Amino acid sequence: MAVLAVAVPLGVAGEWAYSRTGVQLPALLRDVAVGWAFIAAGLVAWQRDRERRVGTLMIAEGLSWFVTNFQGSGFPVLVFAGIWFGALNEAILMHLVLAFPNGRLKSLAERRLVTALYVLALAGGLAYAFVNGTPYDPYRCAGCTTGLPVPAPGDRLALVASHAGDGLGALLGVAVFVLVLRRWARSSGPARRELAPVWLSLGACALLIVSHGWEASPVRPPAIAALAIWIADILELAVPLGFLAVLLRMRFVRAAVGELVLSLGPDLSPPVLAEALRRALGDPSLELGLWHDESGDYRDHAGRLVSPAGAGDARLATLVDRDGQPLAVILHDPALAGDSRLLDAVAAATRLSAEPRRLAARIAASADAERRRLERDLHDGAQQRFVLLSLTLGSALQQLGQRPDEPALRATLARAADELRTGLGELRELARGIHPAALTERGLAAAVESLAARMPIPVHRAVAEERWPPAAEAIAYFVVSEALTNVARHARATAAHVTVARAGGRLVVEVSDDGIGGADPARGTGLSGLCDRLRAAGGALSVESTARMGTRVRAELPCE
Amino acid sequence: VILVEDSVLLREGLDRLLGEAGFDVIGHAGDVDALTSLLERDLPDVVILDIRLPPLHVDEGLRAAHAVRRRWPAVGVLLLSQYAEPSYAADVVALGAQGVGYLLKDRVGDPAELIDAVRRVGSGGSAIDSAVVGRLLEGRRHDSAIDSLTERERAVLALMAEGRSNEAICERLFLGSKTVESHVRSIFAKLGLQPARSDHRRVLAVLAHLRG
Repeated sequence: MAVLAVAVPLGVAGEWAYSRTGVQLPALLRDVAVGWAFIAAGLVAWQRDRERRVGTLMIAEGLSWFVTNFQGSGFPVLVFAGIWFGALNEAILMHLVLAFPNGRLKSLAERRLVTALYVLALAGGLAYAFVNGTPYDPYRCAGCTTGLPVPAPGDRLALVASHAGDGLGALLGVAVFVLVLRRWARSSGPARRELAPVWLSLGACALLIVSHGWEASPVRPPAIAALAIWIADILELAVPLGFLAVLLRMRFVRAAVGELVLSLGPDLSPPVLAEALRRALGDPSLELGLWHDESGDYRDHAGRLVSPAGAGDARLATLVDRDGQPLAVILHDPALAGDSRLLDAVAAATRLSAEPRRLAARIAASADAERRRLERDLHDGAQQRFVLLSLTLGSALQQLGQRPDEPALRATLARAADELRTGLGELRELARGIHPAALTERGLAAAVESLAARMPIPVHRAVAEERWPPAAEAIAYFVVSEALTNVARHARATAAHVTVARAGGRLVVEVSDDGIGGADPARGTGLSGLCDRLRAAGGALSVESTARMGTRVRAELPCE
Repeated sequence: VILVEDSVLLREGLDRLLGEAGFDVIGHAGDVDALTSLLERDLPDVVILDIRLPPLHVDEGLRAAHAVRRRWPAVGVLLLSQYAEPSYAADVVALGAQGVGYLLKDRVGDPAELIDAVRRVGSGGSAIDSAVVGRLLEGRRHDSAIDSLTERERAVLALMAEGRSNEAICERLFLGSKTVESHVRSIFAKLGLQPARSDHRRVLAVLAHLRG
């Protein structure tokens, strides 16, 4: 509202002043349109906190656009102001060009250049007003003077000063062009798209340079200079609209990230999310890495390291956490960094995706720990007690051996000892099922050997004699165990093969057989449960089973 | 004999059992460090070691067995475990040329068996738990070479794998020494094994074959 209270009278006055110069109606309308387009775009941008800076610049551009027109007003003070601030809108436009889209200047060079532009526009305009006393070209009109004493036309000093100002303006314009070109060269994808209205502005700028150049040159066909200014103005009308379009597009992208999360539905698995983010943000180089507690780093769904430090200059790393606990890292185009809310939206989506995985991994890890604990409790508790009991019974039997007069008691005790032995055996099997001691104590090779010894068919093994993180070993063991159980139950195979090996930072487990095949992984509850666990650990399970060609179960999981 | 077992009750029970059987128990230890200081003072014929010992209760006993073997090769090592794991048996036999054993803790209920195992280990032989050998044999039931053995031969094979000498096999199976020798020859031929020069090598060869 406050903006409009200033802008409306300023705009009306400006256009009234412009109309006094005898300008034709189309040119007048175009001038009105450019000024108001900037103000309107600025107001739209102002609605959003993060676009407020750039909105301010756009409104300032619109207002200064009108002020320039005061040169045609006929009131000496206003004419003076019009001349003084005549080039201000060009300086503001260049500022906008350099600061788009977040309204901040990114380097010292940019800040210095913008300062120089303002100094030149204001000091040059002031000098021009004092030296010339009459407006720029399109604003020449009857009685349009500052009313101040001016040097005689053709005065060399005045001429040199005026040309120097125009020449300097042209040079600064070139500098802006170079800086924007540099930014373009260093950015990619989304950042380049943001630069579209900037290029449009620079087109206008180039034409202004040409027109200024013409004014500075001794031979200047005014018709062409006027034409250049006219085209530049047309472009300038496109400029605010271009800026507005990009701002609105960024809002749309933000909304799209939210939409995206909704549209993904239940499948929020990291690879799906990463692909969706790439599409929504228009950044094909985007990488998503999820935090793995076991390895203490970020990895993508294939287990490759995604290092925040390895982002380099071309990409930026955004860390996503939950209450200070690392969850994920997103490597993305730096352009997205200017937009904190967009990144918030992306982070929220990532959290939704990463958190269940992390929770599942936690639950699986604690279940593992619980199994190990149970096994230990059994080992140190019940099993130990039974062993002691068996020791006691043994010595009772031995003592009885010296007294041959109690055959019935002896038989009873022997039966008890037998029962106890069976009980110990059963307890041992139970403990093994909960968590095989061989796995904890000796690792996968020993545990797989133990499994193989229980199989009714030969199991050929190639298991790396290597220790892995306990969680990885447990999953790998249960994959082999479950797969071999299925082979024994359903495959009608004559032999099975188990391989466990390291491949590029991943533990790869493969169990194959030469049986009847046709296994349906969706129906095997054991394997599908393992599939969930593997996914939680950042791994994957695949089952290949063709009729009469045997079955191959392959599991991969990160293990560094 | 030195006993290394973290459960005091079991340690005392074993102590009594071995004492009654005429063994001289010269020391007790609850963990590996205590064992080392005992060994530095006095060397026994046999160290009886629980596989799971403090502090981590993983395989400290097995590691300690390796350490004892390296420093005091003349000391026999008998490992006790709650589990019958084939790979452990192989590990244990691989410990050295003589005086090694791997028994289930259940055997404490069968003093004669336990005492026999301690004697074998103490006199430089091997003692592998029958349950371990049984599991190995079961795991090889699809092995055509094992399949081709007669019932008797399989029994002889199992006893060989447990580390028993020919005389012990004679006693167990009530066979004459000539008969046992011919069974042994026949088994080695059927399994395609080189005749072994010592009992220990025989155990190694047979276990290696059974593990596949």
